[in-house]
Amino acid sequence: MKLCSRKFVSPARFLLQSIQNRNSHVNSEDFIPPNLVMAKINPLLHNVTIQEVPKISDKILVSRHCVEKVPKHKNAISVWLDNLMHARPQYNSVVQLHPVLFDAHPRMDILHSVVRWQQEYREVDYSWSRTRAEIGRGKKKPWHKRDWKSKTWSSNSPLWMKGGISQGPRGPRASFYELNPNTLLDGLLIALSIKHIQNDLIIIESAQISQDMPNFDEYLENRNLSETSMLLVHAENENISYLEQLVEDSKFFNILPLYGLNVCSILKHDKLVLSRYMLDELEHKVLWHKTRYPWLGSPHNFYLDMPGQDNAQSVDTDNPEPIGETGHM
Amino acid sequence: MRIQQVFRICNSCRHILKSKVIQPLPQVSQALSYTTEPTRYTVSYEDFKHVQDILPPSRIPEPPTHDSYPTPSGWVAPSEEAPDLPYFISRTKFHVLPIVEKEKPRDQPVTVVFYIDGDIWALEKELKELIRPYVEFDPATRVHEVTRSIILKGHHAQVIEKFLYAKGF
Repeated sequence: MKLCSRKFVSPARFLLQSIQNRNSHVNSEDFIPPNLVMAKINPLLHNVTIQEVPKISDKILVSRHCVEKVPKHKNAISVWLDNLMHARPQYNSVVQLHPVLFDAHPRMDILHSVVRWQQEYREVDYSWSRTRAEIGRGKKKPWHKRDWKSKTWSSNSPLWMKGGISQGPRGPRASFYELNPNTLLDGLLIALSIKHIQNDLIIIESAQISQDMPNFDEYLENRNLSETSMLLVHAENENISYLEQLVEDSKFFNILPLYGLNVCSILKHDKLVLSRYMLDELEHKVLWHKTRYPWLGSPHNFYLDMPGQDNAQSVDTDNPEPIGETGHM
Repeated sequence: MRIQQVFRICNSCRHILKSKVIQPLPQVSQALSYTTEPTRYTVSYEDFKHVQDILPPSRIPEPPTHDSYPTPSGWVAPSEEAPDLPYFISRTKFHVLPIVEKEKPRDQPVTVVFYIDGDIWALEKELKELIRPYVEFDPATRVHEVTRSIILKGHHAQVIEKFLYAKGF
């Protein structure tokens, strides 16, 4: 009878074998790592059935075409159009997005600088430390020339405990700085492109919903959006009063008008929900910036065709009423 | 004596002034009086139409179609469809090829071609061979994928321009 029937294995080989045995399941085809997170849903833990989104073919109705000219080498991006009123997503119509906005080259350095700017430009550091003159203990010489004691002239010296701080922070210091407007614009476009590439973009028919809206919780559950944070961006002329009431107490749903769109908000929320009516305005404004003449001096609006401005006033020759202001002096 | 005289004169003046009643001055202009109705005015913008004709456009227009290219300045319009190549070079907003000649510090002339989409390395290979006859040693190129550009050592803008115009960019 053998006491030890195991073959002798060197420590190095034993270590290698144990590692290989531990990780042999990784090479199998069905392996999903347990720490995988897909939009806050882990299919192993939550038992969620992932619905398949049908592919967009050419025959589907396009409800919105691009307003501005699309570059030659790129195609308009087609995305399914959703509706807040429908409980289940009905894949009926498609919306076309402009590639300059949603297919921008993902420059991470530009994105980082824009995010950093957004967080830093309004910061004010209020820390202030006293110098030796501001301690308030006076100028009395602690002790006069004596044996076996170091020289001193003031007890407020930075060398002393409770003395002044010589090179410390001095008063409110603002970290305001301006970034190039082109960089800021590019940052916004990159953020939008990232949302599109990572399937976090939802286009909605309109943010104006009527009273007879189906259950909002049901709406979210059917699209696996129960615990995902969403940012809804709407146009200014939409009436969002009912939507505001619905969403007031929700921690996960935020509403923003188009003029408040910014990179930090886009990146902070999981999903970006865009209303169809604001896409035209956004496209027009962005492409106006990309194709405008540079400012000769400072920015001004004395042009024929500024976005959102109507300089073309019609003069009525039939009515003899005077055009302009009337007043009293 | 003198003081008495002054007092007598003052008294007599006072009597004189008291007896007369100062008539109100005739109204010279309406603005000085505050008892009548305020003036009315209108600001007319009727002449604005003459300014409207002169207001400039804010967006850079599309260039007009010429009969033959190149135009007298040497400019060539891009082809209407994207050429069938693995890369694409878009024009700048001023409808000009995106080639720039720079002088980097310490005597380093450099040409930069940017706005490149698609396979940059294929374009870099072609540009390297294009520049070889004009360069003393091996043509030095650098591909910068983050900024979508190719940096070439030396000033070769005209040669590259001719090459890209021929391709139809």
